[in-house]
Amino acid sequence: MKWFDDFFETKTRQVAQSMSRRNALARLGNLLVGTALVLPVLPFDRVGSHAHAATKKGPDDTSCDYWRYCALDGFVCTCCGGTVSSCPPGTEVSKVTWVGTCRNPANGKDYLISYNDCCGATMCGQCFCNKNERERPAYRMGVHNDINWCMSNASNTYHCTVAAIVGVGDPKG
Amino acid sequence: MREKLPLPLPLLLLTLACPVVFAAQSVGSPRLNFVLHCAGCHAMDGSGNNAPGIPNLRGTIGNFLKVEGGRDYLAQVPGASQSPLSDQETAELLNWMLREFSAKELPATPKLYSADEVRQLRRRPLADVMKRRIEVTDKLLREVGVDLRSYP
Repeated sequence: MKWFDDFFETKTRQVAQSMSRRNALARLGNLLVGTALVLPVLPFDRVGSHAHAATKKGPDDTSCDYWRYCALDGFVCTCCGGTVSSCPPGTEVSKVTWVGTCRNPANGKDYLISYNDCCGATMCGQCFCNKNERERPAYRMGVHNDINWCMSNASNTYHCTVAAIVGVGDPKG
Repeated sequence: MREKLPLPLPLLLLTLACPVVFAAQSVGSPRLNFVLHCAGCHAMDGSGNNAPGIPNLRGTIGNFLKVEGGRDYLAQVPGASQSPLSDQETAELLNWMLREFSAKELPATPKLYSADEVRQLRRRPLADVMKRRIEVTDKLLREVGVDLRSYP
């Protein structure tokens, strides 16, 4: 590395002998400002802002207006320690259920939604929703959402309801 | 808030062997109709559920075509006969379920259900579903040697 030190020492001495300090500062300033104007290349992430602009965020999954809850009658499990498709700890998913369809406004597709109840703990009491799109009256029991679908479980106690996607409503799917 | 009705399970099961019925427009493939009308109780894979008395479709239903009355029975159970599906859709769904869940048990040259056949069978609802099931499964044991008598 000695040659490296020698090289820069020599050059630095040459510059110091041939150029005034003010001149050196002016050149250095030109270099910095010029670079900034000509090459504005500081890296910054544009991806996030593009993604944000492209998708309209709808109501989140704790809101009754969340698209998957279009026929959900009961307490939403996302407010009870579960997720949109899984039961809270300490409860058991219902063995029987009913399946309806909801349209996802983000892509205009219809999805098959399984409205399983979560069973084995007392009523959650949070985020009660009552949406009834395409739900039918009691004489169509299989698509009636006032039914306690915990009826087939060891404990019939209703806690909350999930809305799991079980398929896409593609007419030829 | 409306109270959830604690419907008695046997009532539901007897009237909805397949919890059929989504009165929305039921266009689509047999697979989609199965998910929408049957899978709620019979499960997505057709395995049913022993404890609450929901019959397993897998490895079983093909046998019903081997005895007299069995074929009619499959289309006459409430879940099939009372579904909001058209006769054509119900026929296609039955044919799909037979192949999907019980291809091995099918007779060598199975006759497919037609819309006409479903229409005729729907006009003759079963007065006592369980009694007919017992008759058919007894016959299956006697004539074919397959024991599906336990319910489910």
